[in-house]
Amino acid sequence: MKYAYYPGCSALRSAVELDAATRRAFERLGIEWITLDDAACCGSRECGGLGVEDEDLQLAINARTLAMAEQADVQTMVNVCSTCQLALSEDNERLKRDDVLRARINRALDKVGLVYEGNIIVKHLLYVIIDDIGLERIGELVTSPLTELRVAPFYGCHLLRPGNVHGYRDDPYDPRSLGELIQVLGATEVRYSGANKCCGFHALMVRNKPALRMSGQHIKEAQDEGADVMVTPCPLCHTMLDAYQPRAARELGTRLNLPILHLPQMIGLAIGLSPDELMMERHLVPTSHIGVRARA
Amino acid sequence: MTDNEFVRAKIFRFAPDIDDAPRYETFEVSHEPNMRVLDVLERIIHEQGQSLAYRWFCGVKKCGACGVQVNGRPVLACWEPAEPEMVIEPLPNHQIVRDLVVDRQDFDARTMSLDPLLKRKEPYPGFPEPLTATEMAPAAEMMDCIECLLCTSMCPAYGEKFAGPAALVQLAKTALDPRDGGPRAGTAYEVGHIAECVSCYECTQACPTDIRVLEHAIDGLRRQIVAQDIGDVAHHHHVYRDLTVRQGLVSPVTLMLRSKGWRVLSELPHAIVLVIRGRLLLKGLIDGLLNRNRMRNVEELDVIARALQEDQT
Repeated sequence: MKYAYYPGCSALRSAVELDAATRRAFERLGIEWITLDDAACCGSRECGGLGVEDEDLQLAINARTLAMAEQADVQTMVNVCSTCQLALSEDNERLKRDDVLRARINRALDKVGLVYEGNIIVKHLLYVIIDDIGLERIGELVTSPLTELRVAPFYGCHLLRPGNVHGYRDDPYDPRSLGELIQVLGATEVRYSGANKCCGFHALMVRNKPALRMSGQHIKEAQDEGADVMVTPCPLCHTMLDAYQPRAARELGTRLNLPILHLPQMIGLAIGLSPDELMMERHLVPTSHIGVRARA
Repeated sequence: MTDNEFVRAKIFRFAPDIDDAPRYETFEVSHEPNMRVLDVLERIIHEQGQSLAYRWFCGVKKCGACGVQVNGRPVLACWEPAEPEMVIEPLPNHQIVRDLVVDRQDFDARTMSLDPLLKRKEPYPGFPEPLTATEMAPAAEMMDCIECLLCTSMCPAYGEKFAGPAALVQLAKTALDPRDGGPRAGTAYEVGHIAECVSCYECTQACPTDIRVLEHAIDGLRRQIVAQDIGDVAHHHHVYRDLTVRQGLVSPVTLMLRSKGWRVLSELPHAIVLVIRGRLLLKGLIDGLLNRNRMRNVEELDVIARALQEDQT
């Protein structure tokens, strides 16, 4: 199956290692894709997101992205960010369900020569890996099992909640998918209560203390449970957990030192990609020992 | 006998006046068809003579008194099927009065501080008031709130400042009422500290009456804050929209510089570390500020935005 890959703002503007790791993982997993690199921001959720100020504009911009995927003649668009997944799947469902709304948005899209017919499925990379490729096949592709690593999954919010938007693919109060993937890659899953909680990113720009406190608590809990590394399917969570980790430690008055991997970086290590190929040197919390242990 | 003939409930016990620390006690009651969590609690005190403390009144999802946490999920005891194995705990984020009973005074005080009473912008026109169901629909959704506090119990931002979702739903009840003319946006920002909301959807997920707490109550208040141009929340929104239309993809660094203004100086030590570690590229920062960091075909977004505005007029 061919996918339309939507990198979004983070993977193209700040977490460029996520974009690189995703492309390398796609190649290694045999996924065929086209990139929507002139697709715009999904609207995000910061202080509520673009939809709070201009709901129609967010809908139209997301309809433009979906129309570009449709033009590329694919069935499924794949996201690497949980907030993009939420915003795009929510807007996609509204556009599919409401013919009048879609017609109104399409009148604006027509000015740039696009139309969205409502035929695209929006899926996060995690579920492309688990549901489309399948854990069994992933297991077969593992060449460097991560047996030396204790990995704490961090799902964050927008891939789980609200559950009805995501078809309750994972239980918002007890998600299992990322944990199952961790085990298939040969690592040990670390269970802790913060895995499905919030990193605080979406208030960071206006009030950073709650965000630092939240992310710091989750890192500390995973660290105390013996995790060597944390993995997240969301680059916004990654920003809070990695780039803000030293500040979160100061906010809590504790010592934190937990490397944070993007989802395709963890998969990449297990299927034989090198830390260099996965650009793991770009993280604030050093990951070099993780790469070494993964290849041990 | 099989395990399914019994319900085993491990229940949180704590009387702050006499106990040094909380403990858990396990009870077994016989299982009945269609048994609810509330029935299990009732059995325990009526049949086993236990002095377990919990609240309930209506038993039919109307009064909001019986909120508890079962196996880590916030639920109404009157509406939740009993499971063979349950850990029943009081709602998190609240002071314990005793066992499963939590203190509601903070919610009451915060709600009163938000003054959620209708302040008419026009004098009452007399009965019947000319209002349509469509006009009242946003406020009517908030009137489904039974004040059970499940949302606030799950809120990670609720604390010293942030009033929490349950109190903000009460404020939204008036803010979204077309008859109201009170200063709701200012109250949400200054008294409710709505800027601390992290948009995590825990509140929406927890609500037993299906109110879309984040999307309709909190975002409804945010919408008024943006429309009335109040504080850094409105400013952040204006910057975000502008950057989206002008650059297509929003660079977090450009966003932070423009959103925070001179206050970004407090981020300088952190920014230096990020530059040294290669996490933050100066070129990207400069390109973003000079609007050189534009997505291909970004001009299409402005065309779309204008077309939407023309369509509305």
